Amino acid sequence: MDKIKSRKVLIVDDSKLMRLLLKNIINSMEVFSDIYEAENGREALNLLEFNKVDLVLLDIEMPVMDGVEALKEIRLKHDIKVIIVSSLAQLGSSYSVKVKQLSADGVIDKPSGAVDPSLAAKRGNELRDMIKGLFD
Amino acid sequence: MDRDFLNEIWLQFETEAMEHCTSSEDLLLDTEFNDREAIKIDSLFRAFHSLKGLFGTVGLNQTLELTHLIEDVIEKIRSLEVPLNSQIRAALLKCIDVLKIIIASSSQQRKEIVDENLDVVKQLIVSIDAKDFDENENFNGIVLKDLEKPNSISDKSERFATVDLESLDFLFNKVGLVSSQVNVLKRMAKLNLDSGQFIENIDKLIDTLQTEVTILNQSITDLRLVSVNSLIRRLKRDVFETAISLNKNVEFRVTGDNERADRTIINVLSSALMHLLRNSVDHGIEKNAERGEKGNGKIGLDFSKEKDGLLITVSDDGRGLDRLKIEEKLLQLKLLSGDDIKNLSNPQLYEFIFEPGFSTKSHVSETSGRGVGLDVVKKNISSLGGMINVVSDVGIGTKFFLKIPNIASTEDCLVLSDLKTIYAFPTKSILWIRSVVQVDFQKHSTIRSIVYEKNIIPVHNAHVLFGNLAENKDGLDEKIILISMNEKAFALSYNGKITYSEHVFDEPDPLVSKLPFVSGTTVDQDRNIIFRANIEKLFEINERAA
Repeated sequence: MDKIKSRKVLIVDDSKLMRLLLKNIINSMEVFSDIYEAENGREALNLLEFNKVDLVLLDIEMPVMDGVEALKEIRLKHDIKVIIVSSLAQLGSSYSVKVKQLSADGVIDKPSGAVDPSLAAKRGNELRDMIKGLFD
Repeated sequence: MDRDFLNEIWLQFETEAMEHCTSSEDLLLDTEFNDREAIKIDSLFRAFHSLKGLFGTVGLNQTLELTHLIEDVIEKIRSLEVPLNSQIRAALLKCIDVLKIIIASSSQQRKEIVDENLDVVKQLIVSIDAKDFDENENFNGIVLKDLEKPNSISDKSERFATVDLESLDFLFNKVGLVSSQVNVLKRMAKLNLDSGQFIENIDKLIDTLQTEVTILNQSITDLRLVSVNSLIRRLKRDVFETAISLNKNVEFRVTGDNERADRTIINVLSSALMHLLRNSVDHGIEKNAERGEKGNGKIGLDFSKEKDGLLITVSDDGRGLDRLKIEEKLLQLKLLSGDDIKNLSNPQLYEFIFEPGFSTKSHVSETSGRGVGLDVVKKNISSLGGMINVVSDVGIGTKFFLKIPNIASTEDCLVLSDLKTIYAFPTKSILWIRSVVQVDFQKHSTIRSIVYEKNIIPVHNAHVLFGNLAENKDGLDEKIILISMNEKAFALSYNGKITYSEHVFDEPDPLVSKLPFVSGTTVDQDRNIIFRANIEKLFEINERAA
């Protein structure tokens, strides 16, 4: 995987706290040159109209347009890797089936308990490994 | 994780979590919101769901569980298993209070607070869950442990003002303009222009500067304005809780809440409006049974902009003021003779409800009694330079009109509270305050004195001059305060608490106008009377002695 900072990522989550945490994990990877942020699916799609992005980290539950809707649209219009970051997408939930149908490139839990350094490191590693896997 | 990032995370957590709490609070206090309104219930549900996520993210797992319990209740409301009545609203609001306290507390206190309140919330939830939920059961029986009131949480935000970038940019540009004009002025002063042309140019520049400074002044004043909206949530909550505790059905509607007023005014208004609204629920609105076909009591609060200030109307559709009771009270107070009272028109008679010691209720009710009458409301409003009056019709309702000017003139004051009465000194007149050990006293003098600008200034003891509360304690705590204005000076020695605060003073009450050193009076939040020290009169003491 190329270590050159060149790729662009879009983080879609209605919570700024979650975006901060994800950004912190992404920044530690030295893979992405630009990090975009959107608060919901609609904003994300608008952003994608004008910006080329390599990866989208997508939350499911959001106001205005949720992650499932957004994923559908992204799949129709763009060729971008999408990782669903949501506790709802866990195996067995009704969402996990939908997400699978829409073929997300990865599904991962939110970095919860993130203020606990050891847990944060673990969640961070999971996400970093998943992203590395996608771009290898 | 580095400390800065961690701090940022916690700050963001607090902001976001508080937002969800207040938005839920707003929904629950919206009297037009009922359990048939799916969209609003969905937002309520989403708010608690997001809160759960936030607590999980920062690892507050016990609080997460607590929130989960609350979310379950809202789910039951959504599926119409549980009604959304005022008791449930009250219980949910109390749960939100607890969450807010947890969110705002520091990590050391948090565990203790969670432990203390876990059971309280569980108890609330269980009582909601109970199948045989009693419509009339009152949740006020369950009292939160002695916690700081959640409204004190907002203190943090009150120390900051939110300013829109546009206003800042505007001010920045204006300041730039003014300084460039000043530079032109400097250059001109250096050039040797013939005097006619010089004066003409100077006059022009002064005109420009004057205009700009006026604009700057207006803009700064504008920045001090706060939306009255910041008051509303607290007031809604207060009306809601007062109504529940008196077992009255009340609808509360607020209009014009995007009007703005000066910060100081907002603070004074808060307590005045709270008092008036409680008064309306308690005395204005009749008991449910009495109202009969009139249905729910309606209380209104309206803000509207007037040419030179704000007009606030507090209205209720209750029984109206009772002429007979007011007459009775007037007789009792022996303010007027029976015949004089009979001759008063209704509006004339109603004005008396703002008199001190006037309350037509023979027993002080827990709600709006508190030993505080409308006289205090009137005093507070007039301290802002405002006016209050009342219009009432029997059986139709009562309206209070408050006229508030745009700007109250506040004074920064040094407050000495360990005197018989609290005295405030305008800070602009204070030259310095020093501990007694730092002061060089004039040697070889019979009375303690200091030298200031080559004048010998005797030191007067504040406790003797203004009357003492406690026995004068000697010691190192003693401070010397040098007051100076217009090249006159006065030195005070004082031993006790010193604070700084902003005040708006009234003309001295006739009762105290005979006191020698009082030039104004005001009442602080704890209802202590504060005298504004009359500096000129202090200077006269030294002048007389000289």
